[in-house]
Amino acid sequence: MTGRITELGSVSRFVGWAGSARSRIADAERQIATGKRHEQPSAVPTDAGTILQSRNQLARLQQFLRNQANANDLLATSDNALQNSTAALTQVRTLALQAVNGATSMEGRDTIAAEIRAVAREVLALANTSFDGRPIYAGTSDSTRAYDDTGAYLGDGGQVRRRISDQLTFDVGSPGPRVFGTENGADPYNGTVFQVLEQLAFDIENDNIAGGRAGIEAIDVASSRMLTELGRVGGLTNRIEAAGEQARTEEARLNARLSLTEDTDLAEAVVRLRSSEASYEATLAASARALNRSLLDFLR
Amino acid sequence: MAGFSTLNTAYTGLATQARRIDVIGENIANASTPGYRRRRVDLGAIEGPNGVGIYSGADRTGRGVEIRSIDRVLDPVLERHARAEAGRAADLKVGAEALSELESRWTSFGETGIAQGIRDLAAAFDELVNQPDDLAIRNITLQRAEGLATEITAAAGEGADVRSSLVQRTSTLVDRVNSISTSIAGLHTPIVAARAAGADGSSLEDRRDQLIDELTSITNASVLYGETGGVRIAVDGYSLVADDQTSAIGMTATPDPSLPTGMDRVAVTAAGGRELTFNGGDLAGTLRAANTLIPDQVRRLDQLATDLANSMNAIHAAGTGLDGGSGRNLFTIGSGAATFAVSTDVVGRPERLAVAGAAAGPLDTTTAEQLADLVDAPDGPAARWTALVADLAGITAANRTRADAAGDAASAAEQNRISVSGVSLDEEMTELISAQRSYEAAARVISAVDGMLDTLINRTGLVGR
Repeated sequence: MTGRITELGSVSRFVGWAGSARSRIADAERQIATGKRHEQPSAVPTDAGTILQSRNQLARLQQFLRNQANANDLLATSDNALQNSTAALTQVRTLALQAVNGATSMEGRDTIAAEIRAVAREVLALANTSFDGRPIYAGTSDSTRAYDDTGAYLGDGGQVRRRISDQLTFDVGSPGPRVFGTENGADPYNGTVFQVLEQLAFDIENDNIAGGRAGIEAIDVASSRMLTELGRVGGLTNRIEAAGEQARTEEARLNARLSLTEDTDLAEAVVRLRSSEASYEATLAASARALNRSLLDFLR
Repeated sequence: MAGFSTLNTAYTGLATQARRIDVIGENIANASTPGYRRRRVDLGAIEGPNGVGIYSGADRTGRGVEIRSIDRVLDPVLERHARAEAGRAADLKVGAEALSELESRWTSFGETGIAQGIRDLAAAFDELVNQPDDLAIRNITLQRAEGLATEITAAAGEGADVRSSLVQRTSTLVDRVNSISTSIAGLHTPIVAARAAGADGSSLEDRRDQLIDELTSITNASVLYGETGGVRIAVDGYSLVADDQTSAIGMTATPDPSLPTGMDRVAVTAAGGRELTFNGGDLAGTLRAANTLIPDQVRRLDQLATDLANSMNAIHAAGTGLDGGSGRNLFTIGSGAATFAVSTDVVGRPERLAVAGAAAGPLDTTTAEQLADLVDAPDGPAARWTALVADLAGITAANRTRADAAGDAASAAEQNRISVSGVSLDEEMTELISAQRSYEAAARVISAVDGMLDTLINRTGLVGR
């Protein structure tokens, strides 16, 4: 160690000590001011990867949560349209039963047929329900409507997918044929719901009782098709919400991990600031005393 | 016998002590001058005349005191040690600083930079899955892609910037070495002349040692002091300074295919063109940072940008745009990350972004899903960038730790050197008292001799009167 204590030596030593004490204060101040433990990845090379990875995961998760909200909205719209459609079919069924029980007059049947046609238009409008400007029953087609005015399907069978998590992608679309039946030129009662309704209205107009009964059965089939789809939509909603719940838990966990690795422990930082200030002052006081002392003070 | 010769003896004492006080004054004045080595007056007694024979008539008393020399106090071993440590510290410091600089420009924990650009692009593709036909979202996606391209080219620019400042530094250091060599050689003649004449050349030697300190911290050259005051300084067997002769060094930059595009390998050469190897010092660190440390990182960025462009293009080209077209690129890249850009195939044409897969409905989202997944894949750009940042952080931290340790060792060595060569005021005060008292005592001797001579001259023969 140092044998002789020299002026230059003690000055540079004290300057070094005071400087390192000062930089400890600056570091504690920075931690408190920014709320971050470290400024640069190289200050914590072992945590740097974890922090960035967590940020990446967090960003993706937040997007997944947005996707999930979007999927839920879409499913809610679809659910609403399907509820209304089944309610409309129930209404048609009641009317049709009225018409086929034989006690209805010619005019009454005409009125009923007209009503059925009105309901058919309502169902057609519901089948063209759109979400974000896009018909929800048209698959991946870029058509602006799922069905044209005649009830012909314009869409395709493509999947409308939503990414809910790394592993989970849901097809939230309902292709028109699955919900409203497939067109059948030869046998309208086995065709789309629009064909069924039109044929039913025609049969009722023409007092075709047998045809009307077959139509009521066809409506039951169409209804149950819709209810099945409604059940599927409900089930999907539940699964997506469950996945969303998981994503939110994961988000909270990632946030906690990030906070743990990169956020300042305020209590610790304040204590460190206090103690480094104290040591800085002590260093200054000590050097002020030591540098003042020399033989000169004791000589006359 | 005491007489006129004693007067002379006392006079040498007076003169010598006065000179000592003079030197003490110089030491005190320079107590905080950097590079000052304290002086010490080397005293010696003047031998009396040799009296061998019985009748030589000479006594054996000395004839006073003389100044043999005024020395600079230094320990050559500590000097060399301090220089070697300073060279090593300078070497490591440059590398650590260059990496820190690159790191602070490239990365942060905050929500900016390439990491965020990649995340934003992935999120945009995810959003396109929700609304594949929304032109506003397509536009946003294109802007995000351009944002990422800007971040990547900016990072490439920063890398080149850090590199070129290192090249600049090399040339500055080479110039500095040449000018220091010239100054050192210029001091040779006055120092040797002073030595030969027995004059005090200490401050010249201090000046030269300070220059040598600076030279060794740049080059870690070996220093050899000659008996007559000359000095030889050589690096890698190439003599920079030999007494009053100097040899210049130069800098060359040669194309090197192993370095990233736009970077030439820099080297420091001897006058004949031979490449010099430095085993420490600022230049060694600067060359290492310029030829290895920084290019390594830039190469990784180049590779990442190239792979990002190629892998995204492969997926994008297979997909179909809203206008039904396919086979378009999303990004273009020439050589190096600096040329990374959004392809003219899609720039300003949001409908051309491929979201749908091949042979699928126009609003299919297969391609967008694949692109979003690619970004997130275990070996995708996000993970690669994370790995790059983590590696850079690790290398930077390791270099910084080594540089800090070397810096501590260097300042400890410097402290040791100062503890030998520095001025201690307490010591000087003690010396001052001793010199002052000696001076007073010598003066007393003169007055004693004076009294004796007075007795002899004025009072002889007056006894009993």
